[in-house]
Amino acid sequence: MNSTVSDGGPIHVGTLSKLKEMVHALESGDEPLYELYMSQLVSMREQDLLGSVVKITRELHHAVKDINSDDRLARVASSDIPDACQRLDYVVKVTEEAAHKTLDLVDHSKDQTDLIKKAMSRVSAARVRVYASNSAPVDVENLLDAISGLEVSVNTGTGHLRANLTDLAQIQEYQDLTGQIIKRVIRVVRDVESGLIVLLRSTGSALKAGHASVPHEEKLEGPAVPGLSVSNSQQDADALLAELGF
Amino acid sequence: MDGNMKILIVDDFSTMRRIVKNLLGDLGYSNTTEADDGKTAWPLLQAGEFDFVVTDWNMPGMTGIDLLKSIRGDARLAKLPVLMVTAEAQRDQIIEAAKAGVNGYIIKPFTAVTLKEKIDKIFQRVSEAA
Repeated sequence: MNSTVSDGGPIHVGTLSKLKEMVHALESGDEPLYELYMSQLVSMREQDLLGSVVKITRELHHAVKDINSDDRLARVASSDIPDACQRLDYVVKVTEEAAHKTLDLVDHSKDQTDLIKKAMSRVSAARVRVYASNSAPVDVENLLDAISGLEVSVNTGTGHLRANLTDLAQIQEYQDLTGQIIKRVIRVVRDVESGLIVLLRSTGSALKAGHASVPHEEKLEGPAVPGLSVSNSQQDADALLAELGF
Repeated sequence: MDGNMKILIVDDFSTMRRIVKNLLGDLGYSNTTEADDGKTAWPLLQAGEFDFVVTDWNMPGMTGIDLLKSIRGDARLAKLPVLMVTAEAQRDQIIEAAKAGVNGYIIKPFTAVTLKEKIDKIFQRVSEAA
């Protein structure tokens, strides 16, 4: 709609010309024409009003739709996040179990190497006795006995070690499973992020890059993540402590 | 250093306690006890004659830094050597631990060599001070 701006505010050109025509009709005593213009003027005002109401209704509808379109957010809050938490708890459990299984196998493997080492020491001692006694039959017999013991230890031990190595490789499958779960949780976090952005925009809140995070109260950083946190290496820590007189 | 010295390992992750325990065992220290946070560690420290504490920082209940402060504030335990083994690698945290009187600071993940190095250094200083 055309409008101009004067000191008194916007004046609709159509209204102005209609008013002039009404004045002219009144001056010329043409009452029916005046009434016609009057009803046209009223109708114009009604249309303007109607247009405004339609516009407001449409905006309201969009705003409500925007908020509702983020029933996604409601879904995320009521179901996806609790679900994600459960999945992450499961990741903690699975990784802990895998670590313990690994440590069990390491302990068992150490025991096996200790047994082989012990059997080997027995052979060495028996061999020394054979040399010292110029191959006395009893010492030779001891040596042969120690060698048999070593054979058993090596055969059993290496069998166990081989099996442990296979199990150790097998245990690493947790990475595939937990990796998939973590990726799924990352998707939920991204959904929350985009839902929140839409909601903030529809409610007119300004979202400024770099202002997203309000400083927390004293909060521990936790393990350093490359690219996310500035952290010190062991060397940096040692240097810092040395500076402090440690 | 006494191979039989009594060591308290404090960490909320059982795997990490086990790893530290194994590494200490390899270094010849097998007299170890475990606690899963500062709160469980405190009565153990009060009751047992521990010679050394290896503690994580970030734990529920009572953190390692609070445990360290409690140890330094307790007349009987004040001189107990404390090694912090933690993922907290921020400058401020390291300084805070130093001010609280930590004897050594290891950043996770760490190696057996680093653990040995720090323990050796701590006990070398302890024997020099004695």
